[in-house]
Amino acid sequence: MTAISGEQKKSSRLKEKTLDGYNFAYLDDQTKRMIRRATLKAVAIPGYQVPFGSREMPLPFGWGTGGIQVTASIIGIDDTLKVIDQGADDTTNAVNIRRFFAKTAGVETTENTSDASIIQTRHRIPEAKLKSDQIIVYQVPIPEPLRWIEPREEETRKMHALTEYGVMHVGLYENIAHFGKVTTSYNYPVQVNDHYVMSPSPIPKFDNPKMDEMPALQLFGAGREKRIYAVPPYTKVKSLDFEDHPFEIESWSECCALCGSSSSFLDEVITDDKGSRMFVCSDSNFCANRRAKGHKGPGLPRKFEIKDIE
Amino acid sequence: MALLQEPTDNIPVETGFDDPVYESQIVFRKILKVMSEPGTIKKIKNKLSAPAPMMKATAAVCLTLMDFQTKVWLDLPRDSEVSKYLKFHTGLRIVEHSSEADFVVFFSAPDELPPLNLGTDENPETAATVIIQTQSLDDTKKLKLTGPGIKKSRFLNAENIPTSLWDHRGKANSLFPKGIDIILTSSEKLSALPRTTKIKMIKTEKG
Repeated sequence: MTAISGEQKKSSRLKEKTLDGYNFAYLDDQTKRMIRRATLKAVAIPGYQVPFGSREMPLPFGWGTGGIQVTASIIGIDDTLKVIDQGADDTTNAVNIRRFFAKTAGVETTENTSDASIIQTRHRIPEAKLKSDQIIVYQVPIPEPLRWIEPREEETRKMHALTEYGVMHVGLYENIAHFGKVTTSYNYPVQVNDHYVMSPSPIPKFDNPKMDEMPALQLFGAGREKRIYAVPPYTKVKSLDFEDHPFEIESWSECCALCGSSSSFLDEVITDDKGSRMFVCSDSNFCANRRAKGHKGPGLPRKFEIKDIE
Repeated sequence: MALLQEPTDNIPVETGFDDPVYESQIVFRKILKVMSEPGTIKKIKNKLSAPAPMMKATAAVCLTLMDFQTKVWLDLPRDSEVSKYLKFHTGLRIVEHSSEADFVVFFSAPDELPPLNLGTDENPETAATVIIQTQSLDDTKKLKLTGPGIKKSRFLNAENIPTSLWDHRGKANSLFPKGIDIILTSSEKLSALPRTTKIKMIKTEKG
């Protein structure tokens, strides 16, 4: 009996907390079922882009419609949602998507990475290690990593089917021949489970190693291009490289001006028109948690000096 | 209105989800969990009833994933109680040949799989999802699973599934990215074996 009354309570909570006149989590159930079926196939074929019938959402393509549709199809009343945009919880895109789901699905929202059951992200993976049972949903603008090299969908499909990825390495080789190193710094292509080459969405290559053997499920949604793809937990994700030019991530000589971290991804912030700048953590929650624990950075931006440009 | 004109014997007495939106989401998350972490077992807690021989978990999976867009093949006659139940609650399309189906449901595990859609190299996602109902599901060391979604290895035991079926599955999945994804159900339990999961049979004393 207790189980039944628990269910009923949840059901009424659902009606109470969600916006009147809208479906739960905005999408209708028919659409959700279609996206759910696509998501399951995406999980079963790691790194393969499954086409789906992307719907029009109440915001333009390019603002995270793919990620929102994936989140809307998986989210339930018991979930806790975190949304980040370039690592920050407090930017326009993140705030609005969080509010959208708080209104339409009645879910709890959080800024704390470890409290979230679903994390929707635009272009970053949080610094805190993700756990098993968490799901990270990426917003993807262009899902096809081969598109810049081969514009024909028919051809890229064949290349994926035959793991015919020589051209990707030629691209990286040309980069090395021109500049002495691979200069691609974001959206750095990865190979999933030794088969599909996949676009990790425009995350900095700093985040690529986090995708490898991640305990959390990774789902990718591209709304305009109508593709869903996935990486199951504990799956090999390898950034493309060469034996004599192994994959490398960015590093900084500075530390975060606010929390002093020297291990996180840093954003450069220009603070005046005289060239003063400071470096701060891109992951706002990671930075705030460190500061709450008493960590301190060098603080105010240093003054611009002539020797800086020499 | 069309529904009202249907002869009443097409309306099943067994119930589906009380609250389809809320309950199908919970069931889907369980399917997503077992599909992304093959060999894990989840329990369905919904209070739906299904006509024999359909078990609760099988019914929950079907009601969650199927609708008028899905072609389904059952190893039961077209006029069985189960097809009536599924047609009424989901509006699915029952097909004559297993090779046309998006979902293939076995209420008793076959020795070998019938002709199935394995998808194509360019569109592997069109492959069929096979739902197999078994006598019991647990983590006894009968099948050793490795692959994406599994940290090192995981064990699974699905009772009453003949070895020949696993061999057949292995052959189909050697054509990766083509292949078949299996959802296993047993009373209220649920597990899955996507095409990427490698299965090794553990030898017992009986051989």
